Amino acid sequence: MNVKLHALIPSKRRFVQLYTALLYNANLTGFAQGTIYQGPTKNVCVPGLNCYSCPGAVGACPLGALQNALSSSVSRFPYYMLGTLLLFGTLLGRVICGFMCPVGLIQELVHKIPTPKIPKSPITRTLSLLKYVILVVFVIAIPLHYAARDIPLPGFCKFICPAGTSEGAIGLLSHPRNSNLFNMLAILFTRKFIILVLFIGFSVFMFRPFCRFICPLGAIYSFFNRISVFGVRVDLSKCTHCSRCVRECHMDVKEVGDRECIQCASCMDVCAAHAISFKAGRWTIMDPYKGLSEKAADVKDAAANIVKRSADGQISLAAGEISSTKINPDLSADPSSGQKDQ
Amino acid sequence: MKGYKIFQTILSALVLVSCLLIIYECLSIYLPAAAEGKHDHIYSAEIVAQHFTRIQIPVIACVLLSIAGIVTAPFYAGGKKNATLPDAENMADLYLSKMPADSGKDSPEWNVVRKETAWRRKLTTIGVLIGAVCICWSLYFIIDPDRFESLDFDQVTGSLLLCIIPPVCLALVSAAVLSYKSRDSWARQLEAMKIICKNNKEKDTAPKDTALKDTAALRSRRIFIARTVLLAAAVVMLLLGNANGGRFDVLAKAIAICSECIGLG
Repeated sequence: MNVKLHALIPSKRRFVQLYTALLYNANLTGFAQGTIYQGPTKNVCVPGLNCYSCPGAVGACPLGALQNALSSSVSRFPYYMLGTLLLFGTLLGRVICGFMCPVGLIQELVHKIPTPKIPKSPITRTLSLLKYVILVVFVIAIPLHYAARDIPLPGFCKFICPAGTSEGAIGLLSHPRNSNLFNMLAILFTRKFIILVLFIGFSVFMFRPFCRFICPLGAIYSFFNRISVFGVRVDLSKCTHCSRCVRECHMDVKEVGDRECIQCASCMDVCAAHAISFKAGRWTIMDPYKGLSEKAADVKDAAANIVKRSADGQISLAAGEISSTKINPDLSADPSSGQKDQ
Repeated sequence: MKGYKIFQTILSALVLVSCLLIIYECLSIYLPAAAEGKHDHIYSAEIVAQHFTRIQIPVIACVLLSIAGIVTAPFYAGGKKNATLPDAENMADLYLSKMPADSGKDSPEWNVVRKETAWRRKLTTIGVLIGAVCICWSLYFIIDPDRFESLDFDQVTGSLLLCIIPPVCLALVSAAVLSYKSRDSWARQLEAMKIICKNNKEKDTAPKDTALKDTAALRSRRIFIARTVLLAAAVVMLLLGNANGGRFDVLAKAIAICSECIGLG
């Protein structure tokens, strides 16, 4: 297939992202009826940021549920939410951001609009610390403070969250049945809607601005990034420290797998040393060059054998007849030509 | 290719104009009503439709051009990989992190690196301190709400933002200075570190490989222990949460429309 046409086909990661977004919002009848799902699966949180007020949502939003749990922490310690986040973080880390977050998917799709892009820089790297400030102030401090006054106030959901505006508000308001909700909208919706438009606008020119600078859920998962079971791993014995992986990455990473890495595994394709693979514990899940290194070594050995035998006079290279050594012609190809779309 | 760049520029302008128009229309609905002192019945489906009909042409043009741009991009941008610009600072940082701890530090090249990194560290420390002040200042108000003039949620948020904005501006200035100072330094750093790394590579590498393997084995063992402990803690916490009713709190919140999430307040 033509390389340029091939570029239009979504990658495997994109399929996973689309499938996950659909799975989180599997209650498609909710969109038609303008109601939200109220079934028992809503006591389980989905790993990514997905508003539970979206008509299609079949699970709870981990960030909203955490703030709610902190709001009621005076009467009940939030074991359930802490356990959920600990489980997701230890198992998946920021793989969730790269593969399982609908907000990340929307930003990536918008970023495909061909405009000049703002590259990462020390300033964006410094700004990436802002999400930790937002985590402390809006997700932890404000709900905890108001919990003492017996007022449930999810600070992040109320003042910032663009997922709530895009999925929850627009999803519900777009149905004629909920026209009465329009009458209740005021300054809060105006602010949140403007924030949503700004995020979408920024996403055109920057890669995942919400995930890089604002998302407190990404900030939580980043603490687990180096120890998560699933993730991108670098084989240090193969790494040549060329730093191509870091330069090609759109996120503000300093090295593969650090707190800013969303484990999207895009660096696997650009690593000339084939040192990067996607693993689950000790098992390799994705490695586009798996086996190719060994095959290349086999070819090298075979070639050395031929040279040796020709020097001994056992075979004639001029005649081109090699009877005892079978070489698969595919193996002589450049390993980099075997790059797989991830 | 020049034509494609013009197309990109037009598309960028159209995206910006569309975003600004949407924000303008949103404010033009809210502000007049707020000036009249209305707190509800500001928005309605008819008013929204009326305002957004006015901007439909640029917005629809923006959407159509964006789709056309996405579809045609591979034919102009040279295949799937649309490489980002080389980030020299990243490269310098990476070399810094890979620098050997025990060799090359006395060389004149490293002295240059040391001076550059000292500057960067100072500015980073200032930035972090300002960030800490920003958090503490917010917490100062949050801990004692009487410090707010009013306990109205909007006023509280406004006051908080006003408190945070000055230190955030200072932090941004610090980041800008940091960026400016390191603008010319990266090339010198990179050259120096390349020379040092090359010198080290020429030395015996066999012991280094063994040490690398030992370190990797130790690290993977530590990670395995940490994972096991955290997973066990997560399971215990989930069981405790199930027992104390935390699971039903999540369900109760999730099955009702979250008024904060959708902006009702």
